[in-house]
Amino acid sequence: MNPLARIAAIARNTLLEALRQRVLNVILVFGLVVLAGANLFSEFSFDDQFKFIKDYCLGVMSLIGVIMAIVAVAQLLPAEMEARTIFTILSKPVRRWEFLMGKYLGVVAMLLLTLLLMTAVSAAVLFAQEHSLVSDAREGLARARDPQAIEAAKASIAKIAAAARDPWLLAAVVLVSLKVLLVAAIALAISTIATSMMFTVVVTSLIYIAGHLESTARAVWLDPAQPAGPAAKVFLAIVSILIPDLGVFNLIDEIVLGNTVTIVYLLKAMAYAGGCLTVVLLVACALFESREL
Amino acid sequence: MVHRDRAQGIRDPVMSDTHPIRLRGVAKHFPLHWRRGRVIAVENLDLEIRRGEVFGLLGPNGSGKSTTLKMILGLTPPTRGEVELFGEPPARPDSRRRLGFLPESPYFYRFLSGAETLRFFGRLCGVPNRRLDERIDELIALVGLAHGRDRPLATYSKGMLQRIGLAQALVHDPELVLLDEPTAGVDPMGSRDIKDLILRLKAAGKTVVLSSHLLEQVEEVCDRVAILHLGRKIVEGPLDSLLSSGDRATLEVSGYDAARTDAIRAALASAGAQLVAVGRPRLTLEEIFVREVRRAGGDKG
Amino acid sequence: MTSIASRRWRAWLAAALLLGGWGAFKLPLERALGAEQVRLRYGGARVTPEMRDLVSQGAAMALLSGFRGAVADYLWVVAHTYWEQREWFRMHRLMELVCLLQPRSVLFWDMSSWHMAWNIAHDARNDPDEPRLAKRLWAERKWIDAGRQLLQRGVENIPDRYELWARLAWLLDQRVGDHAAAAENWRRAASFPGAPAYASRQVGYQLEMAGKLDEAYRYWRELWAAHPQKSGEPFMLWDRIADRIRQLEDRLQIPPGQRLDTSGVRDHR
Repeated sequence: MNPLARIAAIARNTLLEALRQRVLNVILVFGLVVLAGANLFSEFSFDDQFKFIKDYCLGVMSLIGVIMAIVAVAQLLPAEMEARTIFTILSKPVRRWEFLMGKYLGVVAMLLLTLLLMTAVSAAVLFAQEHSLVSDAREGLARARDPQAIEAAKASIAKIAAAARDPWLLAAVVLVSLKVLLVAAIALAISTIATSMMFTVVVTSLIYIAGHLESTARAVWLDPAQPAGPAAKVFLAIVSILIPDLGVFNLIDEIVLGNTVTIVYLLKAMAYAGGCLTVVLLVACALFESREL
Repeated sequence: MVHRDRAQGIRDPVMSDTHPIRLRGVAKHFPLHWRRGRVIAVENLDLEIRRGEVFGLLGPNGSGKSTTLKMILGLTPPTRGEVELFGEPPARPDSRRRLGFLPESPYFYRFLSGAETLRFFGRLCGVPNRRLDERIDELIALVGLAHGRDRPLATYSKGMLQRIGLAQALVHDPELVLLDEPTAGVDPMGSRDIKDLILRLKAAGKTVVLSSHLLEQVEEVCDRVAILHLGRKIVEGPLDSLLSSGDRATLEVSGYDAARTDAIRAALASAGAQLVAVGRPRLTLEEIFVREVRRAGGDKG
Repeated sequence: MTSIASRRWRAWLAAALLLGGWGAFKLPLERALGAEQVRLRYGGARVTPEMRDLVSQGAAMALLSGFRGAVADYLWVVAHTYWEQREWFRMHRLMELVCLLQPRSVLFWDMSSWHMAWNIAHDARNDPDEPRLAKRLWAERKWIDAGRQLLQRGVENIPDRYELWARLAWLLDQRVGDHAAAAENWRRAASFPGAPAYASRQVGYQLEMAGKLDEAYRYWRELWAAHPQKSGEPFMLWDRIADRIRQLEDRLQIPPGQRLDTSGVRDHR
């Protein structure tokens, strides 16, 4: 019997369990409501600018996704230990890493479903805004007599459509998802050595913040011109080596700004994130192997 | 190294066949935080479970029974000593393929129904899908849970949970079954059913290891028992020889007349024996336990 | 014999080796990605302690957690509350900060400079609390200049799109009155794909307004020659361009033989 079937069985149950958890559902509903509230930004949205709505939607998706990832993963092992289901499962011919990956993939499925829902709501908000802006612009076009004004109105309609339906936004959603999955993996690795859920939540949050400062730490560490004592350098080196650079996900901001993002750069960033994800999961499996149950 | 041959991977296939579980010099210590010392859960434990027997691992709460079972399952590694499951270290999943386990007061995913729970564990054990439906029906019938088949486990009573727990332990038809407190918290009828099931498993050639802190509950099913106290084995042996006391024997007499007891006594005296008491001379496990604890305490002085 | 201690030790060693090995491998990757980010002009100014002092603690936390865009948007909204309270200097400072946080945002540079050079400048000129006209005019100049400086920093950050060049040209034209500089910036704006057709025409208009009639004439003729089809460019308004060329030919007294033959040109709007 192959490990994939066992992992799939565990993942399926984890997903079903997660979908029943009130905390996660509340967070998700909250996220969806907050997203739907993006319409409030229409008054700050000048002419053809969708920046605010995009920032807001992707920011909410990112935040809700990260919170859900940390909360869902942090309670995986404690819940299993408390319910003692982990003993029953691991007394079966299931390897520990299979169990851990099954749990992780179950949470991943839940997170991806959540992100999909939030993407749908965001898209609806964006299209509603496009619709209202385009109809305003059409009115302007109908009133315009001067060729220059007609030109401006037509250009603005085209620009609205281009901004609202920027295909790169899908890449931004993929990046948000990747970031959420990476945070979930980090929480998983922490939870294999944690003795309480709180420990996992706090340490993962700290790593999340440190991940955004990693590039700064790395720059100071590697730059001989930077004044830093040997102790500080060692600390910066440890941070730079151990912690993934979450700054790669700042690419999301660039996509929102409509900056040219090359496919090559996007793929490189995704490959980097994928590499981090793989290593963190391997570390989680290695640590879980020796965990006392 | 004491077990150098083990380290070199030389195993005795005959021994592992006749003794599915072997523990040698096993100890388990839990360190306390901040170097405040350690808790000794199990100390210097030797056990050999024979194939086809029902073995009782007995002792009060906290005597190290569950820890011992966890070490047998590979859930926790021993601090010292060797654990072998079918001649292999228990951390290997293959050695667990032939084993079924019922944890103490088991909880499962509460949202799954009885049948779904069995399906889940069946998948984990690699029961092929085409066999699974049939197997679930068999098990539901075996543990008498027809009424709970499609109900979520959240609505199960304690006794029903114990039954579904037994069913999941047997889902892949293992040759060795480990039951942690199988009768704890179950009503007398349920307890009877579980004991019957254990006897049926034995009759089917399975090896059963069960733990219990209610000693008299398992008296009638166990072939051999070991009694643990504070992590140490204080008694081990066949139930029959443990429960008989020394050179004493019980004679079953028909046509007994209390008025002629003197004659019986005289007859016995002529055979060099003495009538000690009239009644039931069997000791209970409780008595043995208390006696052995006292003796162990006396040894320590 | 494997004790727990050694098992745990091995697991930690494996984890440390994995992380360390990956760490050594990822550093060059991160540096390459970082260098490319700089080349592609991604990201904004590094968050300094002074910046953190300017924003609330919560916003600073969010800034450090990868929500730069959202924080910039939030501060942008805050800046507009200063607008309503007529707190010009605070508004200016905050808008500058927002621009620094997301220097690749056209919107922030554009709107900030517009607020400085038009709205605040206009308000300063009509300040009811300042009776002296000279002081009011001086204040207006100052705010227009603040807007111009902001836009000049903007084009440094986004030199590869037409929008801010066009904005700067417009500001130089409308608020500063430097038509030669405006023409230069319109020319830059018109050179980018997606630039509106009027950017190309503005170059000529501004040159004329700057009094550089020769140059303007040359520009119109070049523009005319660069589009032999006079099509595929909606709103180029070739009839207007033809008008300009004819007027300039009259004013510059171009000999008839050298004049442009604009007959047969239809409006391609």
